[in-house]
Amino acid sequence: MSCHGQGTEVNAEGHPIILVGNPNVGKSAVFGWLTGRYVEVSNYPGTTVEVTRGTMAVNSLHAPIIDTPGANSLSPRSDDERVTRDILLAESPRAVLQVADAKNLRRALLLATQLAELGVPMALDLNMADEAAMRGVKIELEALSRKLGVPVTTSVATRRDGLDGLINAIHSACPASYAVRFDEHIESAVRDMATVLHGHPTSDLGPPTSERALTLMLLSGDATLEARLNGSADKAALIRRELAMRYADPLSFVITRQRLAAVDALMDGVYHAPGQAERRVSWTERLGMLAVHPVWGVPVLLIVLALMYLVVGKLGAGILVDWMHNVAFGQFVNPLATRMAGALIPWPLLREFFVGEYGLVTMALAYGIAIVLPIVTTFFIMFSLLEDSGYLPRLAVMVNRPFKVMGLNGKAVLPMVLGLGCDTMATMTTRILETRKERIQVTLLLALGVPCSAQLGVLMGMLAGVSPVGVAVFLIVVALTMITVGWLSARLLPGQGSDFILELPPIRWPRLDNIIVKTLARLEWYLKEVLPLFVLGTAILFVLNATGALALVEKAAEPLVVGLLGLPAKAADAFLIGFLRRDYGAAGLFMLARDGLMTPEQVVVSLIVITLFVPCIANLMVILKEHGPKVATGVVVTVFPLAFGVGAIVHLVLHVFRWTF
Amino acid sequence: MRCPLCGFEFDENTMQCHTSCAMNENCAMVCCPQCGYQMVDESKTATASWLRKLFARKAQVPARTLNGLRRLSDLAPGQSGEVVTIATRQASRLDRLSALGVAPGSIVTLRQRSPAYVLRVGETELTVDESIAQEIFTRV
Repeated sequence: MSCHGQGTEVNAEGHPIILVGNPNVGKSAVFGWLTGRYVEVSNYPGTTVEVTRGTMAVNSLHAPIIDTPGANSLSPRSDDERVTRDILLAESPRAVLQVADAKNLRRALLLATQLAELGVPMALDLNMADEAAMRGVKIELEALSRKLGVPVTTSVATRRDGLDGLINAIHSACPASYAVRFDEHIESAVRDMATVLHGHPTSDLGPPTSERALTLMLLSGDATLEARLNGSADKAALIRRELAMRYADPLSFVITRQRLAAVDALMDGVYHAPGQAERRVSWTERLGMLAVHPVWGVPVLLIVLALMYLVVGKLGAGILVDWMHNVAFGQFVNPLATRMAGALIPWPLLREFFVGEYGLVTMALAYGIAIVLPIVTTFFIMFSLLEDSGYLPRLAVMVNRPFKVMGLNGKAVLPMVLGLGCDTMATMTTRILETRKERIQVTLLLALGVPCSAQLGVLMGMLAGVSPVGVAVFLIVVALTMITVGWLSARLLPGQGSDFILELPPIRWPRLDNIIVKTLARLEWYLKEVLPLFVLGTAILFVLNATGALALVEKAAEPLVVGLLGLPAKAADAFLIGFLRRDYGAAGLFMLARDGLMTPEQVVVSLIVITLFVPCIANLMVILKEHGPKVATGVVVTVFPLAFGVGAIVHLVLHVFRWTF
Repeated sequence: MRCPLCGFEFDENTMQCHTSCAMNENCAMVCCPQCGYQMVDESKTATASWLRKLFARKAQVPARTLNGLRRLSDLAPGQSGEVVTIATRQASRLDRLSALGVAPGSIVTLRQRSPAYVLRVGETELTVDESIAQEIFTRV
């Protein structure tokens, strides 16, 4: 672990250590290992990407430490990669510690060569050494260190193994002496680009040592970087275009290919892996293959779904919600709030605002905390489990084909599954989808057909009273509507879908501390971003109710509900409430059914309508916030008539054919 | 054009019903002068071309090999090959594949084709769509 070339003795205490690495290498585990309890998570300015900062206090080393999002390349193709690149350019680090997956050395070195071009003091940590050893991979650390000119160490972060090596590596971090030599045309363009950078009035792009990295990023076609050149942007674009003309392939690909060739030469004699025949396959690997098997993958999927239903449906929606709703709020919070309001607030209207029918405490907080919070908590726990174990991308593989029919791909399964927890939350998660078209499509499908957990329980309760044929009709009609809308929106909406390329990380035993941290982080996000929307929505309802507008809408909707859908008049109330609070709407129908006021056929029609019905007001507000008024209007205009239309058609068909369940 | 009913060949642009019929401008129908059979002239109607786009089928991929190279999608599960070229001009696709290790010179092994293509490069396992697997040409 020696340092060659110009070793820099950066003793400045304030300069941070920056952790960089490919996704799924255990960077967070290393970060957690090196920092104390207090870490601060914040959004990088102007983005939704989270950056974690902490303080490293191990042995003699005290320094701020920054954890960047996973990046495969410093020529960014995603927000995560862009933020990582920007952090590396903006902060002058004391050391850059690249955390790598030892067995995937090739991809790690691809990143390492780019870090080398930044000219920052760096060290390489080959983490997950246990997995590498299990697969028979052997790496010669000394030789690699010599070739790169930086300290190389190894670790198993999950077992806290290798701390001394890490500390030594960080202490002796130095700029790499290794540099990738590209072909003469590219090197010539690099020199030309450097001249442009010198002529650039303010060197705010990055420190002088990063010049080579900046030129290569610009040649790879980094639009955001080029834009920062202001006046010199045209000259840079010209150099890039002239170079691009020499190659048939896109320039970024040409550069990456030459990098890979250099990396392969680096690995020669240093990285030894057993051939295909001698590879030992662990049971976790077998499980991973089973999870995507065309036949065996299905029972695995069903088991996962059953587990989710048990934890979220039975424990969360059942036991926890009951307690929160009936005991915590029913016996303590609501009566207390009502008494306080009666004592402290003289004006009845204001009192109603807080504890009335559409009261802040009695409705908004009761809904957001007593009903939705336990459900999303259990949901987040299960979700973090699936994420940490590595199953999630495999789930995407299993659903890819059906999703393609709807014009999406397997990656969209994530927000759709979250929608079963809370549609409002899931609509926010559509941010992770790459193209705008996909985001709008999934938003539409969520608003249309995915019942949130608040509804699901009541839904299933009502379906219990209907014959299996009725249940089947319900499922088929809803599924068909969603597939048709998905397929149509894929053809009619402008724009493109994204490529289905996903890494399948090895199946790993999920770690408790990871799950807890992720769940708490997501809960915090829910409380800060979603809960206020429930409050706002309820306030709007309060106003509508107080002004009598609500009663008017009910009166107007009645003929529609009775005539078109063949349902009792009271169902109109339930639908209206359903727009405001999903579970109240479903519960309203449930009570009609329970009191024997609806035939099984009417139950099915009403369930179809309420499932397809417009999203709850909180969801609508998120759609407005995320996608703007045009999309929000489009969603409502599509979903509203569709819900009633499909319901009317089903009612007609049942009526004409005198079908009974 | 050729009448599908009687086989008569005629030029639809000089048709009576295209030049002197009262419906002229707005009529998207063409009548065969020999048998009178009416057909839709698709170039004259926006609705027809819009519907065609709705039901457009993907272009069929030729199965034969290219200069002795085989597409990844034509390999058998378990087979390996060295990537020679990736037949796309989309920089984003090439960048993502190469960052994961799939680039000319890399050895890839096809693990399965269904429900999605899964391949292994080095110690990385990834999944791709059929359309992408069809673009990766390998030498077995």
